[in-house]
Amino acid sequence: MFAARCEDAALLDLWHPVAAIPDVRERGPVSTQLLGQMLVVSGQEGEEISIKEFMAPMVHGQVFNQGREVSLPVREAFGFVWTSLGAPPERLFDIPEFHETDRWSENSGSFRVHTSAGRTVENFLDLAHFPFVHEGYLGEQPYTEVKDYSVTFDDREIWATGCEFYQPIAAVSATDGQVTKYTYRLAHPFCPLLYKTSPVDPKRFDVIGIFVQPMTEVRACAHQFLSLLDETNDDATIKRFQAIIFGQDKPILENQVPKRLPLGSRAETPITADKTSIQYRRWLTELGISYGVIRDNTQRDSEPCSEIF
Amino acid sequence: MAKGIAEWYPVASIKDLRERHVFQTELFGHELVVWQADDGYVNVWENRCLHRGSRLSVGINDGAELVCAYHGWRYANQTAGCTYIPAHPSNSPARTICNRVYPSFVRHGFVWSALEQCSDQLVVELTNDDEPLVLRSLPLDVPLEEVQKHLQNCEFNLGEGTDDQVQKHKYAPAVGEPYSYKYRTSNSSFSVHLMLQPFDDKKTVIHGLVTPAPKKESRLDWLLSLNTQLAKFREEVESSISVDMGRWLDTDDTHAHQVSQGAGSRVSEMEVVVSKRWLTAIDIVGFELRPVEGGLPTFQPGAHVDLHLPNGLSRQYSLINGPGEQDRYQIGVKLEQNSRGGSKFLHEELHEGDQLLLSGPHNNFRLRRDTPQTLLFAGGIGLTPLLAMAQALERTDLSFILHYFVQSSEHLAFQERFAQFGDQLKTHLGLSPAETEQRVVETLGSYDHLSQVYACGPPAMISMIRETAMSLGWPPEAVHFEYFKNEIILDEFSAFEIHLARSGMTLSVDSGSTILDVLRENGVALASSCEQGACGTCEVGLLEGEPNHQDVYLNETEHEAGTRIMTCVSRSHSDRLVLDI
Ligand code: FES
Ligand SMILES: [Fe+2]
Repeated sequence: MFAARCEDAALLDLWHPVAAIPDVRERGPVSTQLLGQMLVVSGQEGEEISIKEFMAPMVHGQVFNQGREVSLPVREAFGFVWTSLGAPPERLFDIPEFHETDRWSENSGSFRVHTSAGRTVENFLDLAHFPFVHEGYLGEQPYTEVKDYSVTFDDREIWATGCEFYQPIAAVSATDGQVTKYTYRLAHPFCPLLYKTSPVDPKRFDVIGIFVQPMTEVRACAHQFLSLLDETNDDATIKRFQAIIFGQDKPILENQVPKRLPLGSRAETPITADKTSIQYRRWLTELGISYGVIRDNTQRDSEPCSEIF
Repeated sequence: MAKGIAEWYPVASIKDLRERHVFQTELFGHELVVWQADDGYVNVWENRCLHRGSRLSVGINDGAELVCAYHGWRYANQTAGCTYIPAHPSNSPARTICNRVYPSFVRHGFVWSALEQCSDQLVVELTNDDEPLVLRSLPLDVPLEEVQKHLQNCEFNLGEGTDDQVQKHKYAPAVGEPYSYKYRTSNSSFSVHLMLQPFDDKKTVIHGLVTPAPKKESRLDWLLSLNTQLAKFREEVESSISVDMGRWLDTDDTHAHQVSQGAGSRVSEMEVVVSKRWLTAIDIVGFELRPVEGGLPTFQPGAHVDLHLPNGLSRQYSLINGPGEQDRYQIGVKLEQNSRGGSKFLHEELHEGDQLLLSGPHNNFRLRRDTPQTLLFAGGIGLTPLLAMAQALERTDLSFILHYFVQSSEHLAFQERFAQFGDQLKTHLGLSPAETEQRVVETLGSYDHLSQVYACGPPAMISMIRETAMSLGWPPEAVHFEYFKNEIILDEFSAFEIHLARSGMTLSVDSGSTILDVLRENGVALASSCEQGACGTCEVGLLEGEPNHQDVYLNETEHEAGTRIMTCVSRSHSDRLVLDI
């Protein structure tokens, strides 16, 4: 049985993150999946990084013959290796803060999760779950209100601005609760970023993001990216904080049904606080994507979306 | 659909549900969540939160409501209606937000459920009223037909317990019904029933019971013997079928994904019967109302219902019920001095067994639950909505104090509900208006940024509390009130006209209703879902007029373009909107 193959031009043509550069350099080659295809990312220290796609028919997890190997385009950005299965654009979005020299910019871990990339992105964009899923870290009951914010969409990016939330510890460098102001930016259908006022310099922003790799329709890998002005905390502390946060989200994400993101307007019940997710689902609808999503209201999952893993 | 779909199946043993547990199971591949409220009612729902699809089985059973783990939405016992959305503490959830409820009941130590409403016929009918001895339920990784096939040919040793020894007998099934197998001991004094739950297309659960329940001393022998034999049976059956690769493949769920809209998405009047009336305090009669047919709609603390009296009058009364008390509504009616036939009629003419019409509930007095403290001020009969609020707060970790001002202890109503509050209830007896004000000043203190105030009672008292709060620095958004004689429901929205371009109709939308309401009342069928401007279902094109969008579905550019509106929330800045329908 084959993993469902992605036929969506819009997804095939995108750049996707597939591995953290240090993972390839130090522990490579890395084998992974992208949109249901098997990939191997290799390149020891001093070599060029290369990515091969194995076009091998597989049955019950067994490779039946050698199959073909195809070399894929490679791009390095924000600490990750990116590739594409189609005809990718020249340009990948930019994060200007990444280039500022007085920051700590790095990937802070890649976390696999058994749900679709779409569900993972929505979770990152969601404020309302803080007091329930990240109680004591990013939110605290009973401070549950999501104040109105504004959302814009310009065909290429979604921005949510003016978001506010009460947080007990918004970042490792914060020592007590504060109302934190956020801006969310969806720079790519699977790359949400978050800008928040830096506790160190109120005029500048910390940037946190996840670059989500759609491995199959119902599995994803969230590659975390950080660009902080924080001078006091070491790598390990920051990574641990991020790992705790993701560890809290993971069981929630894996208990959402269906795993593929429903796009039909009546499939779920959005509320005002979900403005960003509402625009996100509309964007995916407009892109014509059908991989990892459920497009209309009445569709049944008659065929299970099988995969090999 | 598979055959046997319209049948009752055991889906959980009642033992699985104790201690506010939330139990998860499946029937023909449909995920179910099963939980028992403190009042004993067992709920069987679709295991999926309507908001963003979280399994409710990872949520919290607080004894009256099931709370979703992702964003804390609360769903009421019995109706599965959503009662509170923490992200929007001052809004009432739309009535359409109601989870799918599966038919179910409890009998013989098991919860029985069905995917569709079906006949009363159970696969197992026990004549003996005693609770049987329930065996441990056993899941098998084997499809239903295989289990059935093997059970036809299987024999069990039935231990017949005596005080000090177990005799064994071997019996073939007496009845081979597809979902239930019955075995008898030689002297017919005990029967063992094995019942099958079709979990999904790869898995079956065997539930079993012994009836009548053997004597205490021999129970353990029975359990040991049967559990061991069943475990052996499982091993045999599982090893007899070929390993199916499909079991290791990921499947997304196999059922339809449309949010099922619960019953009563549009409510009108319903018939209720007075099941109890009692004098609860001087001049105050309590009425308990039960539905003549079906269930009562979900309510939230602070809600009121409209009673439509046989004399033609309609009157509004707050519900005093605590959360999850869905089998009955309770109201308190005070005899008003110059009653024009409302309270007088209720006091004099409405008796137990009488029927009347009710609509609602509506909620204009919403309880926020996003501050650590809540102060409730009740004057006389104004207690009623605050009593409902106090009971809801009592279920949470939030602290509150209910201050109850009455003339004397004979005026204290609904004292049967007070025990749960302990010292969170403070009664103030026989105070003069000046003393009352003094007491309010003392208890309110200056604004602490951590509290909300709710007040209900005589208009003079509410005005005093509002003014006192303001002079102590409390911002208006922290002070909530409902005038007891709430005859005019204020609405901040103004009236306007809509013209339907294609059908040529002109209709007016007054302050109390939405465009969607008016369209529906006039026979224009329009689908809706969230009814708060977030899902885009009730969108229509706009040809003319200046809309007041109020929705969150469209983005800013689309708002500026002004060519589409959401009929559930959008209104008008101009006198008239021309719609493309
Ligand atoms: S998914 Fe249940 S509250 Fe959001
Ligand atoms: Fe999260």
